[in-house]
Amino acid sequence: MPSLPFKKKAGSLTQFLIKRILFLVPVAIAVTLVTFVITRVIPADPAQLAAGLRAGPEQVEQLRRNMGLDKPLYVQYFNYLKGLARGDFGASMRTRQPVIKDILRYFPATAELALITMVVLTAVGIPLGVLTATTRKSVDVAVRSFSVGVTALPTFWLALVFQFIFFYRLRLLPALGQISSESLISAHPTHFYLLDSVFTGSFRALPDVLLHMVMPVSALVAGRLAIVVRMTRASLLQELQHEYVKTARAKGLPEMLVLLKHALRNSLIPIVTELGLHLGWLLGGAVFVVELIFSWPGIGLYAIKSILALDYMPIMGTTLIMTLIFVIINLLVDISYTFLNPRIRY
Amino acid sequence: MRRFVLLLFLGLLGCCLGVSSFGAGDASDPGTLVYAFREPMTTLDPHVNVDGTLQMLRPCYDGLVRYKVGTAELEPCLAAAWDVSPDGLVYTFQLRKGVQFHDGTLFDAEAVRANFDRIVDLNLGAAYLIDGVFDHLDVVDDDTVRIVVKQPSPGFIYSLVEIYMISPQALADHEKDGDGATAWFHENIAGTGPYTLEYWQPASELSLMRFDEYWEGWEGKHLDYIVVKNVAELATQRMLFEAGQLDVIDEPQTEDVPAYKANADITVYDGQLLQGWYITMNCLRGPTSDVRVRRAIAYAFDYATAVSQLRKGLAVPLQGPINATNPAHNPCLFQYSKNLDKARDLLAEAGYPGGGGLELKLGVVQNLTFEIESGQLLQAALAELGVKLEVIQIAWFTFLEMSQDPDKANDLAMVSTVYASDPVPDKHFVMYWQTGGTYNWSFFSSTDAGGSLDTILEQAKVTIDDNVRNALYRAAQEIIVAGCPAIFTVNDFNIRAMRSIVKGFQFSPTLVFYDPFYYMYKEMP
Repeated sequence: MPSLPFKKKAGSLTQFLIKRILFLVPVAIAVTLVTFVITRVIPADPAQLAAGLRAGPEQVEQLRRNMGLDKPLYVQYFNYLKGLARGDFGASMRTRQPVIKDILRYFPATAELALITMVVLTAVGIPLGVLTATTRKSVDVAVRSFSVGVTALPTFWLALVFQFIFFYRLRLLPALGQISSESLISAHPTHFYLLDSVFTGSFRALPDVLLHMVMPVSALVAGRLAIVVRMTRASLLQELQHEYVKTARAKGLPEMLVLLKHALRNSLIPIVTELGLHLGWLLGGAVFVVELIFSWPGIGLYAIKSILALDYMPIMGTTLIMTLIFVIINLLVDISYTFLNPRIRY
Repeated sequence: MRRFVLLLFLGLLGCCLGVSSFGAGDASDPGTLVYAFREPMTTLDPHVNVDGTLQMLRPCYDGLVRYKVGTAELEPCLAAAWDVSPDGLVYTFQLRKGVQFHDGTLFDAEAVRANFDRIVDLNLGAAYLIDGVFDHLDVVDDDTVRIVVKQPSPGFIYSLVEIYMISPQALADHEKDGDGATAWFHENIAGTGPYTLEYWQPASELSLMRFDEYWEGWEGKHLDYIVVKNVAELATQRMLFEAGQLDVIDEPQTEDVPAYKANADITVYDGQLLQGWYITMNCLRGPTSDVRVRRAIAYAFDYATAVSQLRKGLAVPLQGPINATNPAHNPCLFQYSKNLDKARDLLAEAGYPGGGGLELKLGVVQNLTFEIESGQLLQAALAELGVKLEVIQIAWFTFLEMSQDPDKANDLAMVSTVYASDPVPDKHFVMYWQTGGTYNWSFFSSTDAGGSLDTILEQAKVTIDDNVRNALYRAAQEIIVAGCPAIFTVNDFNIRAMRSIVKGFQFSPTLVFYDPFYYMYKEMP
């Protein structure tokens, strides 16, 4: 922990947090307004889409009234905001079920994939970055070429190639889904399968869930690996130029200690920012392609299906949630700076 | 102490290797059929579901009547017998006795009433089947119901095939705030069909297990489980199928079919007519309002190439609006084939010699390969005639909205048919050829042949006698083809690819996506 005048820091951090959390309100309103306008200016008749193309005019009209689509647009928008204030995200036209229920069901699958991807990306990317910064030129070039190489490949292509090799040829990994039907978990308290398999004592499910993650996570990690490696390398090399590093070395501290405790820690700020952006990038849509290829039942597949059917409420709900998560992740990144560098205050 | 440790160890081992609480296996299990389906289930409620995923609920629910497997004939189902009054207004159904719902309650006349009440009250999904026709239902006794319709409607009895009976007990038990138990039926199943829900993982998997008390019994060979897997990516689907992890592929891609046919472990079923494809032409506005221009365009389309190249031979040219196997189809209809000389003459006659700088627009659904390629095929032929055709890709909901308005519609638009194989094709003609129909994108009307097209179709819709009705529909087809409101391009085959160990499959000529799961089984080598 940085030795800081704790009171002062806590006070200013609280103010900062309040300011940033209040900032979420205009962001939410702006996002809902833009999404609302965009979805409504598209020439289409949502009542007819909801009733099905075979429905007669009376059925369509009744549905239009029930869905409140016969009211002026500003009234519809105001009603939507009123609902949001109560935590009601509206209902899907296709399923007639509350959107929030769908989001709570599908989002954890996406979040789990994104978080595990982040863990692996950090665990692989940062050490590789440190390695390239401190090792022989040939290793540096080899590692950087590899990471740039895999990152340059389109994620969907890599995902399909993984499937071909590890499922079709080698039969090592399952091709799709989150879990095999033989290992299904009886209850889903969180919908995070790793957690659920532990909470419900389904220890057979745990390795199965992990195996299902290998290919999608690898495809996603590959997509960002070079950036993390290069960022770590550049940041660390810059840090190693500083006087304090020379001092530490002159004091006779072991090189590992100089590197990891002093230099790496100080070079983490741009890396953490980058990782935060990666998480936002993953949750904000990058996982969607991977979800499609691996039939991963996440929010991405749900959003795509909703967009293709012009199902207003799920489109608005998922956009809003994604935006808020992106903003919150950035907030967490900002807060993490105070721990990484005590001189940063809010 | 050692015993305790041993017990603890065995207990932990049991936890780790614990038998799954679900019985469905994978494709290597002879009792489990793994069925690949592109779309994830939207809802399990058979009265709400309006999309293609309804087909996967059919093994779980029964209607009062059903199609005899592999035919277009009706046979008793939950109704053991029925009769229709001579005026066609009253249907009396004798219900089958001793039928159990999945929740153990008995099916009776009150159950039929509860189902019709729910469909009418919800006015969603299934309501379109009886909308405008159903008047009311009387319970005569425990085993008899009488349904009264507003006007004679030969298609009504066929609609009842898809009015699925849910358990009224489940409906009453799970009704919440007047929701008609929609929240419960969204994720649960309580019908009378041979299969019931084992588990549903939305967006990935649906597992159905056999219902032991099914009224037809379980003599002979049957499946124990049907596992429906959603595989959105087609390349992945093919990989899984060839690896033997899927038993059936619903609607495989046409380009994959030759490889499947060459594979001894796979059987491809095709040949049954599925949907037809039209390129509609706007008869009210623009250059295509001239029948000579429309006929010239119909002569320009390359039907043979569309069948052989775009559909890889898995289709035939479409003769008129409905499928050739439909009893109401008119086999004497004129069929266009590519003839650029005739097209040139017709264009010149219409005032466009050498194309005359004619520029047309064709709307197709975004990213729908077959529609785009068909557009390009027409584009190439029209270019030879000096006519410029622009193929515009549009998101389907916008395309639908545009195409229904003659002022906003493109000159041409591509659309596929539904209900074109129904023995009473009233729904097809209402949707595509009657004024105001959802897919009436030609806006064609005619006063030839003793009455307008609308009048003839209205008359056919209420004609009970099969011969008279079919004669009316044949006359309507004559009028349509003479007016050339659309290019009738190709009639696709229905295709299923299955592992050769899957037996008992037959296409349904009418409910084209209904696979007879109850009669299917696997014969392991």
